[in-house]
Amino acid sequence: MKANHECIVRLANVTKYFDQSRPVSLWKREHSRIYALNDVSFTLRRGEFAAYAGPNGAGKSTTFKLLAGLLRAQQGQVKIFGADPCVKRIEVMRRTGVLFGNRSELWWDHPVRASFEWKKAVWEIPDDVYMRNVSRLKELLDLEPLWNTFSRELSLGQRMRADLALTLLHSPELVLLDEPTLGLDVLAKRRMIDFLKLANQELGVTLMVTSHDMDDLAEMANRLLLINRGRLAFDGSYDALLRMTGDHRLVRLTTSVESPVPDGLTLVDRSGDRFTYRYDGTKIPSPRLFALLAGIPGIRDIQMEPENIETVIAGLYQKWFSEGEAAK
Amino acid sequence: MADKIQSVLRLLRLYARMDLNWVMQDFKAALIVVCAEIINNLTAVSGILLLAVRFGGVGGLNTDEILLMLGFFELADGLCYMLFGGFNVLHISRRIGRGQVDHMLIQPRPLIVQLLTEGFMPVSGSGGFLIGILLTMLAWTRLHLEVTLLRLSLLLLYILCHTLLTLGQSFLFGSAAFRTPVASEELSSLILDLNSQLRPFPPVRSAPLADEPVVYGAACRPAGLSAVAGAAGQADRNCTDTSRLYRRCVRAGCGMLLPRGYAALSAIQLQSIQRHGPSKLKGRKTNESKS
Repeated sequence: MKANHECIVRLANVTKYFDQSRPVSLWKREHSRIYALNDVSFTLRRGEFAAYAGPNGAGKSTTFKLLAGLLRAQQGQVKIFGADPCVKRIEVMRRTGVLFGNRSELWWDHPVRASFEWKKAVWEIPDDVYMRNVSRLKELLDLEPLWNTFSRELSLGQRMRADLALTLLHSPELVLLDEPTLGLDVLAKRRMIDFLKLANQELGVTLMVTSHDMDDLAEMANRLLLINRGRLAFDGSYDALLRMTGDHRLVRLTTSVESPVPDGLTLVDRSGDRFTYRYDGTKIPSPRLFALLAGIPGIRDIQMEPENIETVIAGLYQKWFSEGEAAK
Repeated sequence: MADKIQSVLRLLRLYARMDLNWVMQDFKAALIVVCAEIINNLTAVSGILLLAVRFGGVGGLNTDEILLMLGFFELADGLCYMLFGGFNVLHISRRIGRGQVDHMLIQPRPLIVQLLTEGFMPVSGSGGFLIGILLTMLAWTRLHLEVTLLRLSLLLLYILCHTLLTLGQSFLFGSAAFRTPVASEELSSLILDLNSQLRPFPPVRSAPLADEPVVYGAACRPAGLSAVAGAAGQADRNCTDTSRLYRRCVRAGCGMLLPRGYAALSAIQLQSIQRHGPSKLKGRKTNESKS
């Protein structure tokens, strides 16, 4: 769905820190302050699908907790639907769905059906909305076979599907998903991604997702927010990110003789007669690449592909890590 | 207000239905749980009862009064467990320590409503309550007490006080789990266990201060004391003159006021922690490490 201008989420100069107290000896404690978020600002408009990524400890979960009203920022403003989620928690939660991938909202000792009925009563979902949503979610997430199964008996993928359906049961306008693909196999992940795209495009739900799987995020979201050490390091599209980090591409050659390393290319892998090189597409345009490859004798096969987004981000994280170490 | 009460009643009905469903899903297992609870409760009171039978009473109360005391405690404790025993509402430090308060905060309901309703388990948690009714009725019959409106009201008042005190203690101490989640996870259980350990003992005549409200004020409330107070009140013991009646009222009043104090403190602590995070080191010198 195309985003409109209505601002659903707004973080303005948000700072959140935690004070820690560590024992250094039997009598002495050391106090320190850890900044989980440091002057972070961004907005999310209705209908947007944003990915929120960063290395471990970057502040992703803290941001989600601030958005869900579970924590309060020490500085700055957090607004969801124009209201402070800590102050107007009940009103905000009626319009928001929150899913923490490592936790479940399902009632453990009850069938899946019971959790949905529980949510209907607690969220006061009207009968017609409940019936419509249940039948749609059952169909889209293939929940019918699980409907009367005890939650404790579900596999991880089944549990995530049921949890996701439960999150969307009250027709939320904003959905915050913290690691929704955590631990899912390839097929389950594929179904989850397809469903989230559908929810965004057809149901018009505004989504914000965190994950460590960058390929998943790249496929799902049209906007990427990268956070590093509590600061927003990047906010834009994937294309913009690639432009920023360099348009890294891979070329794989199968040769009958030892292949030299042409100028501007970096050998990243060699397996038998297969050589993999990395190059920056912005610096080496395709005609020049072909000219370089033409100089290599005995080429039997050439494969070209853009570098995996995961690798690009890993490089970025590594760079940030090195900068952080250097700053210390 | 009426809407809020209706909403609470609706939620109580929901949790009652869920509890019934749980029982019906595996009736045999549920029956075993309820029976085990009944046996456990009977065992807990049998020791002091046998002593009372052997020595013709304990701590200034005769055997039947001891039976009434035990019945009162089982009734009050059983009701508390039935209303708040489910999903660790009574053992709130477990929920806090395990990070389950997050689940509550994402529900569009006031926290107080959730705490009042989520623990309701009228079927699977009714063992202690049933034993309490049985023992109390037995004691009333043996003491030839008339069932009057006043007596019933007094019983209800004492039960209410007991429930509020128990909840207040559990919440007040249990909220320490916000600061030290792992270390304090079982704090509520420890507090409730302390009550359970002390509940069969009627030390009312063994310590001069025990009969006074200061016992409540000091917050070292051996549950047996409140049970004795309840039992003594029920048995019309030493309550013929006005000063005794006055004491009884003071006890009841303290019983009413203190839990409110507890609740207020707990609420303040909860709110403070929610607003400022679990660690507050204001005013202390800190090494800022902006990361």
